[in-house]
Amino acid sequence: MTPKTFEDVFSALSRLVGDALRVDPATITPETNLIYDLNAESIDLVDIRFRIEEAFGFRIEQREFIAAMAADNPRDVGSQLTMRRLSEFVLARTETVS
Amino acid sequence: MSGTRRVVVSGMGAVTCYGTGVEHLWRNIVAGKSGASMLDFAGVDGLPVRFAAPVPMDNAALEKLLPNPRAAKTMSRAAMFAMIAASEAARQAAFGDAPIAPERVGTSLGVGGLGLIDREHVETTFDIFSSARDGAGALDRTRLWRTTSERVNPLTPLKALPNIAAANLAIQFNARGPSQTHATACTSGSQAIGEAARLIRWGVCDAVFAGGADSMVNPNGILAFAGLGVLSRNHDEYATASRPFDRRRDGFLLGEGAAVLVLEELEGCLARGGVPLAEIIGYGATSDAHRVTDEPEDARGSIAAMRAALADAGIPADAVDYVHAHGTGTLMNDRTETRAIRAVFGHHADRLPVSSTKSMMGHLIAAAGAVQLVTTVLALRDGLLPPTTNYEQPDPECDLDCVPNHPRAANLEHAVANCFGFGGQNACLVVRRVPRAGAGS
Repeated sequence: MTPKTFEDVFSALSRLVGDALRVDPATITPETNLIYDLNAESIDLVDIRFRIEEAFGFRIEQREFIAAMAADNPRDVGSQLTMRRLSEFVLARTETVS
Repeated sequence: MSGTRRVVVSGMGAVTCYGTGVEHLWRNIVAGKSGASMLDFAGVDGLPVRFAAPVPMDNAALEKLLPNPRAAKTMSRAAMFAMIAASEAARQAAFGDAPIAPERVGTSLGVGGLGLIDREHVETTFDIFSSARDGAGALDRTRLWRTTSERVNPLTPLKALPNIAAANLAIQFNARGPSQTHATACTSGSQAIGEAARLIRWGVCDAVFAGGADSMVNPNGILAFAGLGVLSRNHDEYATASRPFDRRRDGFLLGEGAAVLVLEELEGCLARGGVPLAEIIGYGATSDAHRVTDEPEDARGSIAAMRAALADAGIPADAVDYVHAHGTGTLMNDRTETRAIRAVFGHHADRLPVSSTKSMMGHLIAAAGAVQLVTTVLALRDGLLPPTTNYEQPDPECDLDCVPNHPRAANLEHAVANCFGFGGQNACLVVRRVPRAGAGS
């Protein structure tokens, strides 16, 4: 799977996150926060990272994943963990790989 | 049960080969319906036994029945059975209007050892092994572990935690009291209920979600039990192959499922408007301390468990009106259990009905004790003895009244339910129809 645009990645991640958290992907927007809006817990982030690896075909270290999600403030991952941030991270990695 | 605090059942739930629901289960049992079917998953022809009594729902269907489907991420198939059964039990107990203080509510579940090893996981594991062989066919362990880390979802190990079912129940029902997980093979469910009753009697808890769950109807479970030679191989007559106490019995029918009961302290239950369904008045647990799969000739462990339970209940043996046998349908169990019952009940055994619903549902392993307690409570409620089906040819070494083939009306006050497990663990519960007002026990 090699999506090229933000929209491609966001759409794929909406389905992936929807599956992981049992929510309707149609209700997910780029501003949806995984922690505050979707009530994700720590193991959900592990699960979502694994599912991204499977779907996109590259490896992500959990530390790298969390660091990228918390780029603005390492002490507060939660408020930064939006679908937009996640999609941008995956898009950047996709471009690195391809 | 000795002491002043009395323990009642105020809610029950079950998931079995008949699907979900206690009343649905009971209708099938009373109708003598077999839950056995030929298995049809891919590759089943490679298994030595190809019939069982599975729960007729795949994991995706089970997930939809969970009160919080998202919790499925950490739940094995058996844990999902437990959650669905507990939800039914909680609905019947109807805590809604008068909840019990959360820290006074416990969880106690009997679980098996291979609950995680479902078909999908086995196949993934074998795929990984195959892909980790080098050109010469030798296993490259470095590649094996790397591939495992890449392909097995990191949440999978959580599903294998023995306590994951009880943990999920505590989260779902806000049960903040002690949580126990019992793993004593086929005795697990009975022991979980007996120990839960003690938590209430001792004043540690006012209510406990107690029961058992297991899911062994998968290649690993079938291979394990078939390998030990304890499963019936009567493929030609699979629907009637489970024949406890019958001379032609050749092993048990493998079942799966769960039952969870809400146990409560009697006075608290009545004060909040709960309706007691039966009272648990005695519990005995022993070990054979003999061999892992052979029972001792003298049946000392099972005899001691029944005697301990009756002593705990404070009733004489001849006050027992019905025994739900462990009754697996293996050559050894039914013979030894018959001897044990005769030793405990003496002449009373000649007029004591002793039946086994494993003839219909099969053996639910770690859930067996919990499911059979549900049927025992319903037998007391309705004054109706569940039959031992498929009984045609008497075995002189199993000469009890096994309520052959048809349910029977009876005036029931006290019932006993037996469970014996690999490893030599034995548990026996004594149940009374309804609490007697004002009677200390």
